[in-house]
Parts: sequence; structure tokens; C-alpha cells
Amino acid sequence: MRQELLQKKVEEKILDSYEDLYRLAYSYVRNADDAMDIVQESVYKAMKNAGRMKEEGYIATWLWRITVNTAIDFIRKNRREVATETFYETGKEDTYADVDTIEALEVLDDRERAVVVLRFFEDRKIQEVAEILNENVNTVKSILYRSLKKLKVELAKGDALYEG
Amino acid sequence: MRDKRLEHMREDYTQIEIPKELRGKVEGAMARAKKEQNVTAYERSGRDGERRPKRKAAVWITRAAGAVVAAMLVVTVLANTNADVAYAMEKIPVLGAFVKVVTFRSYERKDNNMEADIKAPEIRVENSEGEVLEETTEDLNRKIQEYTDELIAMYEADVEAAGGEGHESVELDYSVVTDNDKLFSIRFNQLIIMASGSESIRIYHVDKATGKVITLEGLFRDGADYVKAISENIKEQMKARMAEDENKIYWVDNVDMPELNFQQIKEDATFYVNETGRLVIVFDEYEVAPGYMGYQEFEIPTEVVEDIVKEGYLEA
Repeated sequence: MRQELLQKKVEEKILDSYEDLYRLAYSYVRNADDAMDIVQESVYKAMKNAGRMKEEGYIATWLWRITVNTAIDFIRKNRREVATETFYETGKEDTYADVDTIEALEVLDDRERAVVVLRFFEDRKIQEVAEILNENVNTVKSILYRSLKKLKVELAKGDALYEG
Repeated sequence: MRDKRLEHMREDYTQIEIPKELRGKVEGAMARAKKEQNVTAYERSGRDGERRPKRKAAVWITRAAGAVVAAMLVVTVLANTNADVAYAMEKIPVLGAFVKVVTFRSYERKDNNMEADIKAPEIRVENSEGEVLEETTEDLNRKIQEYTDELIAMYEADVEAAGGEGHESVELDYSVVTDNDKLFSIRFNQLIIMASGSESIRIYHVDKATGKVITLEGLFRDGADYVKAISENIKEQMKARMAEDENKIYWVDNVDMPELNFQQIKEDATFYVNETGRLVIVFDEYEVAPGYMGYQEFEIPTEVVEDIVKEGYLEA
């Protein structure tokens, strides 16, 4: 009985947040098909394991965690196939400027990327990010600090390119 | 101030387009999971039914030995029951006449790749006639116990949450760092290793003159702004260390993430008095600097606080 209820809650949460989960997945693979696969797999895992949840309040954290892990697994398996070359193809600025900035996430490792996306893009609290990644709060702070520094350097390079 | 380019990036992120077919795929995945769920539901409910009831989070193994030994965990009991061991421990730290480590408790547990090894002493505070000062003894032991209970509860919660898949190691050890005419201080080193490690330090002090447990505040005159005096000095030291060595980073004057910047010490900041009689403030790993810097100590020149410190605790 309790299990069914939990599953119902998980279902609601998924329908509520699958678009956010998709964006996170997309930031790892940067193509729609793979990102959808990741979301599908994460949703499947979440529903299958809903009964193992201890607390209702933990559902969101847990959904994010599954999606981050699934995305990281995916990217590790397919490391070489993730395309990065599209950006040189044409000179049209308005469409490409967008892709560039997200692409800058490439300079981050898997964990750093998760921290930046969750904290900075998804506006999760540091404490929540720490729970999602099963990390110490202070570790997350220090990863965030390091990542934003790296990103700024990378983004500055992009600017120099446009100006030159 | 936030970097404009980072803001731009965040803007781009929110505009990642959601494919129309995503919703259908999500619903499909949920339906598939539910269908399979029904097939295995019997198995699972059977297993759940057997699950042992959730224990009170922080029971010392010594108190509830029989109740908590589940199949998968190895427990070692090494405590009060064994007089020789307690006696041996009493000998190890060099203790003054007034404060003694009379026994210790140990909590050890191993669950697959997770383990905890937590050692905590029981302290007895006596006056010069050898009478036990109950209030302080209880106060100190309670503080130590709360601290260790918290640590054990955290570990046990992590074990539960990880469902056998976690990697974690929790260690707690202690030593007597100060035992002079004025102060007896016992220091706990806590090391938690998850994906990365984290070191944390707590120190408890007994004021020998009053026989009471004291915190940093107790070293200073009533109403004195020791927090500000010490904090300002630490900021200067941080900047000096950074200027001297470019590999050193402290979170001070950082414009990108001002919320991380060290503002001031806590009123009950961790401290000890070193051999030269100077106050040393201790920060846990990550507290004021990135993780690679480890935990941090700052010796405060006595002149910084000489107008506000009570007599006898510090030396110039």
C-alpha cells in the first residue's frame, strides 16, 4: 500500500520535472536523442525502485541523483562519440552563440558539470546539490568555486574569438 | 558581481528546447516500469516485511549489542566491560591532576564498503581533594556524546540510504592537546572519506580554575568583541599567506562567490592554546579554503587580544 502511494508520488514528481531533467541530460550529451534516452532510462529506474525510497521528501533529490548518474554513465560509455565539431560549420552568429556557451561546460569534468548545472542553472541549494551528489556541502562549495573559475576562463576565450 | 558571460550561459541553458516527443517517451518509460513492477511485487513485499525495524539512530554498540548485530555487519565491542583496556587507555594520555580519561567507548561497524570507527573517552573532572565535580563531568561527557551520536547517526543514515552500494569511511580519534595550569583541552579529529575526504576538528576545554567546561568566549572579558578582533587578524593572515604563495587560496575578498567569503569566526570557534601560550584558531577542511588546503590553523598574536583576554590564559 505504502509502495503504491510512493510510486504515485514519484510519478507526479517526474511529470513535474522531466523537462528540467532533460536539460540536465542535454548539457551532458548535447543532442536531443541521447538526452531523451537518458531521461527515459532515469524515469524507468526511478519508477522501478520507488518502493525503496525512505522518505517522500527525498523524491526530488533522488530523481536528480538518478539522472546525473545515468547521464554520467552514458557519457562514459560513449565518450568518443559525443560530437563537438558542429560549431565550426557556419558563421551564423545568432544560432551559434547559444551553442557555444553551453559547450563551454566541456571544460568541466562530470562531477563539476553536475554541480554547476544544479546550483547555477537549476537554482538548487548547495545543501541539496550535496545530497544529490552524495557529497559533503563544503566539497560542493569548493567544486563550484573551481568550476566557475574554469568556466570564466573558457568563456573569455570564446569572446576573444568573436572580437578577433 | 556575477560574470555577464556566466549569466548569458545560464540564459542559454534555460532555453534548451524540449522535444515534443519527450513527454510520450517519459510516460512510456513509466508504464513499462509499472508493468514489470507488478510481476515482482510479491518478491519485494516479502523482503520488505522482513526488514528489521529502524533502530534509534545512535545506539552505542555496547549498550545494545544483541539487538543490532545483523547478518552483514561486523561489530567489535571494546569498552567499559573490559577493565584492563580502560585502564590501559587511562595511561596513554598525559593528564593533569584534575581531569582524567577514565574509560572510553568504541563504535566499530562495517557494511560492505562502508565503515565507521569512532572512539570517544569518558572524562572525569575532580577537584584537588579528589571529589568528582559531577556537573562539569556530566556536561563534558554529554557534549562528547552528542557529538559522537551525531556522527554515528549520520553514518547510519548514509548506510540506509546507500542500500549496500555506498563507499564511506568515518573515523574519529581523540588526544589531549592542552593540559596546563589553566586549561585541559581534548581534541577530536574526525575524518570522513566519501568520494573525497573531509577532515574536521573539535576541541573541548575544561577551565581548571573553575572546573567548568569553557568555550572561546570564556577566555575573554564579558562583552568584549573578541570575534571581530580575531576575525580581522585572520583575514590579514589569509591575505598575507596568499600574497606570499600563489598556491594558497583562502575564501577572502572573492568577488565571484561572495557568499563563500570568510566573514568572521563563530562565537564558539574551535581553538586551542599552543605550547607557547598563544591562541590558535582551527578551521575544518573546506571551511575557509578549497579542499586541497586541508584544515587550517591560525596562531593569533597575543597583542591582538591583550586588552580583552582574561588574565592567565594566554602569554605574550
